[in-house]
Parts: sequence; C-alpha cells; structure tokens
Amino acid sequence: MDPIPPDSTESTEVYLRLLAQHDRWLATYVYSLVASAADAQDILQDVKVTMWKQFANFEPGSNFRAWARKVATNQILNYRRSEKRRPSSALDQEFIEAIAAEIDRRADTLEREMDLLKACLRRLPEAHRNIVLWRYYEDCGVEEIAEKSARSVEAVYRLLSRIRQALKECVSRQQAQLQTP
Amino acid sequence: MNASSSNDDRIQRALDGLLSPEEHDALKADIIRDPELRAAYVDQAWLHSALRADRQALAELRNEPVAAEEKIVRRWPIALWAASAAACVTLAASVLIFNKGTLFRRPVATLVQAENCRWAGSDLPTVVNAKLGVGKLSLAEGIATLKFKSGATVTLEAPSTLEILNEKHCRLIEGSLTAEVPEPAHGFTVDTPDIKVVDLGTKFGVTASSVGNSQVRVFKGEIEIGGMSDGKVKRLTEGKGMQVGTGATATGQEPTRGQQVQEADGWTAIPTSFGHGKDSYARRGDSGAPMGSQPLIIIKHSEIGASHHNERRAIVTFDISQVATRA
Repeated sequence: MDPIPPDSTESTEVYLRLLAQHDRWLATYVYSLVASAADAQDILQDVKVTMWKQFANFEPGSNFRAWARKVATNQILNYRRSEKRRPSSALDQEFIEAIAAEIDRRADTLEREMDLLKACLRRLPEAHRNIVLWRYYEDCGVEEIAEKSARSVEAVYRLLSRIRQALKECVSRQQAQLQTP
Repeated sequence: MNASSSNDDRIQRALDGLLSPEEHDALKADIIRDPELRAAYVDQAWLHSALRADRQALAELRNEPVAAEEKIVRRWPIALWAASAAACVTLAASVLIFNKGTLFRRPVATLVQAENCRWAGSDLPTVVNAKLGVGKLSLAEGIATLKFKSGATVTLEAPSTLEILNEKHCRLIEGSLTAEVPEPAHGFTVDTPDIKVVDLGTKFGVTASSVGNSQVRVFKGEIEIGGMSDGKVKRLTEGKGMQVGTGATATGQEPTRGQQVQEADGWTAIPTSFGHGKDSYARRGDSGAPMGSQPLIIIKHSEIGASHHNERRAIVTFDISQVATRA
C-alpha cells in the first residue's frame, strides 16, 4: 500500500524529517491556491509522493521549502489543467502564478504568522471559537453554519469575516511585537 | 463604502465561496492587475488556509476547556501496564502517512470516540464518526475508540500507530490497544512486529514497540498467539499475559502511573506521575500557547540553528524521596 522507498532508509528518514518540519506550511500553501478541500487533499498527497520519488534530485542543505513549493505549484497547475468538468482558463493559471509569487515573496513572514495564529485563536470568545470550529474543523459551509446557529447566511458571513479580520489584526500585532523586542 | 472596504468584502466572500463565477473571475483579474489587492488577498487567504490546514491547532482548541480540567479517567485496565503516555515525556516521531486515496476507500471501521485526542499527521479523517478505510492512524495523545464493521471494538491509547487492514485484521505498529470482540467477529487478529494475536472470543490488550517487545494480556475469554520466531502457536486464557521480545533493547515493563516498579536487577523505575513528580514542556515563541504535558516532541537531532521553530524545553521532575534506599 505504501509506495516503495526509492532509496535507502536513511534518505527516507531525512525526507520524512524535512517533510514533518514543513508539513503544515506545505498544506497551507496548497490550500491557499486550491479552493476545494477534497482537491487540495488529493493534490497534497500527490505532492508528497512526487517529492519522495524525486528526493534524489533534492540537494541536501538547500531550501526544502522552496523545492516543495515548486513541486506543489506544478502539481496544482497540472491538476487544474487536467480537470475535465471545469477546465481551468488562462485566467486561473495566471491567478495561481501571481498568488504563488506573492506568497513566495513573503514566505518567511507568512510562516511566522502560522505560529502566531495559534495563540490568537485561544483569545477568541467562546461563541466565535465555535464558529471557527464549525467552519474550519468540521468543514461546514456558510449555509450549514447558518442553519446550525439559526442565523441568516449573510449574518454568518459577516461574523466569519469579522473573526478573520480580528485574527489577522491579532497576528499582525504579535508580528510587530516580535520585530521590536 | 470605499474601494478598499469593498475589496476586502470581495476577498472575504471569495474565501467563503459566496461569489458568483463571474464575480470571482473579475476579482481574479483585478488581483492579477493590482499588486496592492494581491497583497491584501494573500493576507486573508493565507490566514484562511492556515486555519483549514492546521487541524491539530483546532483540535487542541476544541479540547481546551476539557484540558483545563482533571485528566481523563481511564476505564480500561490498560493503564495498569500500558505506556504511561502522559506521565513520561515521550519522544514520539510523527508518523507521516501518504497512502493515496485512503480517505475514499471502502470504510471498514468507524471512529466512534476520541477523548482529548491529538493526531500525528492529518491526512486521515480523525473527527468523531469518521469512516475509516484501509490505512494508518497515528495517535499522538489521548484515547480513541474504533468500531470495526465486524463488530470488534478497539480502544487505542496514545502514543500509538495502528494500521487498519480489513474489518477483522489490524496491525499495531507501535503503542497500546485493547480489543473487545463479540461473537460474530471472532478471529479478529492484531499483528504486532513480534506476534499475531488471534481472538477466540475475548477482551484483550496488546502493546507493541517498533523496536520489538510486544506484550499481550487476556482480560476475558481466550486468545491464540502465533507469528512468533520459533513458529509455535500458544493459547492464553483469561487473566494470563505474556511478553515477546525480538528487540535489541529490553525495555522491560513500563512503570504504572503513579507507582514505582522494582526491577529484578536492582533498578527502580519511577514515572513522573509518582509522588510529587511532574512533567511539562515549553516552546519558545509560543507564549500564548499552553505549556502542557503533550508528549509530541519531534526534534531529536537537528542541524538547524536554534530558532523559535524548534526550540523546546522539556521539564521533568521525579520524586525520589519515597524510593527505598539500600544501606
């Protein structure tokens, strides 16, 4: 069931260690370029398998994150191109490339934000926390949350959008504190 | 509404899937054209994606009010001899799983209960009531109960890695489990690196370590043990247990929570939960996060310089005041 490791167990170990370090980052990267959760999960698994197969090409000591990002971007573009139901347009391709480049430009800051986000989540009031869990842990859409919480779709959307803005502000504040010790 | 607030609104609606295809395309075109809008989009999309991707942080968030209370009560005798996960600061490697398509295979088990669970690797469904296909589950913390389609119920205690093979067969790669097997599921089999445990109508417990050394105990009924290196098959009845070790290191019995264990060769093993002992860890750069007894510390050796990404400190206190000393 598992793919056969292409190389010695030692290189597999090195690979797994690097992947473990960057796993969350890689997932966030793919999720920010792919809207559907199911597609993102498929792509993510393909990316990990591809990277493992091609790990011999990875130069030890070079930037694993950058290499992973390259593999992932190619995989996303290929995946979108091969989609039969709604083939991707030139606009989609260009959009993905533009966003990938923007993430690339700010990779370090964005990586730090992921760590800071955890602390900010804990500061959310309980009602907001539940909305976040519904939306992101249980993967509910806005309509579903509206039904669960007896609110209108528009009200849920506005609440979610406010929570995300609050989280964003919290993260930015903490970034600023880190930079001015 | 000014331009920037309406752009924020478009971005937020795009993230929640509330734009029409035409509106979405218009936003994409604007983002490609306008670097400022692109930056704003990445700001929001990154946060949104980090939330989608980091199930572990959300699971912790969900469990947080519970975590502040007393630790879970163990209802199974498993704690008498299982790895004292919460008590010892265990270095658990996060097991990465990429069995392609695991999520979509025919389900053979259901995750019926998850108490204070934290999972290593997030490619498998780990929410309660998730249907599980063939594949691996890696539990970093907590206790999870799986109900196999055959009727067998398996309770997994962290840190453990379990591979589900079919509705009557699983492999305990590492960790501890107890299995309760009703009649229709007789023959339910648990493999460990050392042995094969076949149920003959029972409730039993198994622990396995990845370096060898498996222990098994029958709580009720009878089991058959096979797969041993000498080829023999052995039957164990109620109340009986056995230990099989092929590992190079004989780790012996793990100490019971809150108790010291006298080893035969003059050593005494004490867990941190004994007497006034305690354990905890802190991570730098994570000041708002709890400092807890979560046993997942991945980094053993690293060539990467110290940074807030990998700097952690474990604090363990052992109470040796009550250990008998020999004159």
